[in-house]
Amino acid sequence: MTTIVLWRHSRTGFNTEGRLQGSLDIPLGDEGRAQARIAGQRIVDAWGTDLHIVSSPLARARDSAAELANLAGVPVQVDEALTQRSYGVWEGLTHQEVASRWPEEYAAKQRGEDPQIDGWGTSADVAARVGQCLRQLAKVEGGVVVVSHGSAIQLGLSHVLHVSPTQSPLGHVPHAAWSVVTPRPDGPWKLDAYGCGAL
Amino acid sequence: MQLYVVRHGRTQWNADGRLQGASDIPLNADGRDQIARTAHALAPLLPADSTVVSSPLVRAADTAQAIGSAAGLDVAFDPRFQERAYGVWEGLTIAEREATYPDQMKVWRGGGEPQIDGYETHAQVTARVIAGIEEWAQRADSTLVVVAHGSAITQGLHALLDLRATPRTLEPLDNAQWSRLQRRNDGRWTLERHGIGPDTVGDRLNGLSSVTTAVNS
Repeated sequence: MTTIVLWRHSRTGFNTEGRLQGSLDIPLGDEGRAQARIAGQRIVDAWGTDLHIVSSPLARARDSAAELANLAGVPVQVDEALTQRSYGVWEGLTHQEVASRWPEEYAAKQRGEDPQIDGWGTSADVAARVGQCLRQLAKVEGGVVVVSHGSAIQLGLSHVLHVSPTQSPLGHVPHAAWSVVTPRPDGPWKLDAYGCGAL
Repeated sequence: MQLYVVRHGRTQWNADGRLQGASDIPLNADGRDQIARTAHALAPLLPADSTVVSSPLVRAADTAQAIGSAAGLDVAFDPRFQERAYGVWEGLTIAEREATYPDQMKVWRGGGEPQIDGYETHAQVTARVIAGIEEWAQRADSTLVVVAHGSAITQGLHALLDLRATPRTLEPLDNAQWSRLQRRNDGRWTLERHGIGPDTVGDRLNGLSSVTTAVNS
């Protein structure tokens, strides 16, 4: 039976500065690559090296995936469906900047709702996009590692667990943390673990 | 308010595949080892104002005491966190149950509730576990740690998170593993960690989890 590991990319400079990235393509620095190596080693320790690694096209995910691929000695597939939600006009701004300029919309986002701003990738759209990708990956035999982004992972999981994307009980996923899900042919999938590798 | 829910360490009946339920089975050597490792991993995460409360059954109580000692916290007890009672099934392995209660096992495997003497239903277990959590969460400061049992925890987590329990959305915790929930301002609970143990928790020393702004980007 396939188990799918959903791994969030490691920390970038923008993350450290509290800047929203969304579709902005910020690569990992030395700290992020080191973080990915440590987490990647734990993934290999748990699941071995016979991994099917699929990554978001954004550099922070591909760079993280590359560290794991290096440890496992396998290639990385890239799938556009695993990319991060777009944050529209908020991309590149810090959370403080957004909260002060768009207080109501920011509060809505913090509640899990879709803010009414230009370019925002809605929860329903992102959940469906990532969820469909996960359903395809359920057909792969053996260990699958999906390398993606916080929101994309939460929303994709909400889709396969059959919970509302805007009322999801799934909390924040730390950088380089991983979660584990077991596909079921009918009905909601099973969440085996959430937020591994984090405090 | 954050809530840690911890399953007790392994007992000989766990190892043998025997249903325990309300039976008061002690930890085995493996279990004592597990709780030491879990306490070592979990204690540093608990603030000084944490409240630790446990089922009074010895397998949970010993687990809670290990955590309490490691963290410098007292342990309280609440029978609402005991394991679901399985009545006449307690002490039996799956094979023994299949042999002696084939029809009820079919019902149980399908996610239904068996009609057997002494069995505590999903609704009964959920009600008491949730009542216990709500009351202790009111009394606790920032952090509540509940040490309990497989089925009680599964029922409680699914109810708190409003997740479908048949079939289960969350994999039951293994021995000495934990989950962590967060209660938001609107009273709703979110799942922050699930199925975590000493091998899967992060480590401040290895850089996997340094302090960062708690946001997605």
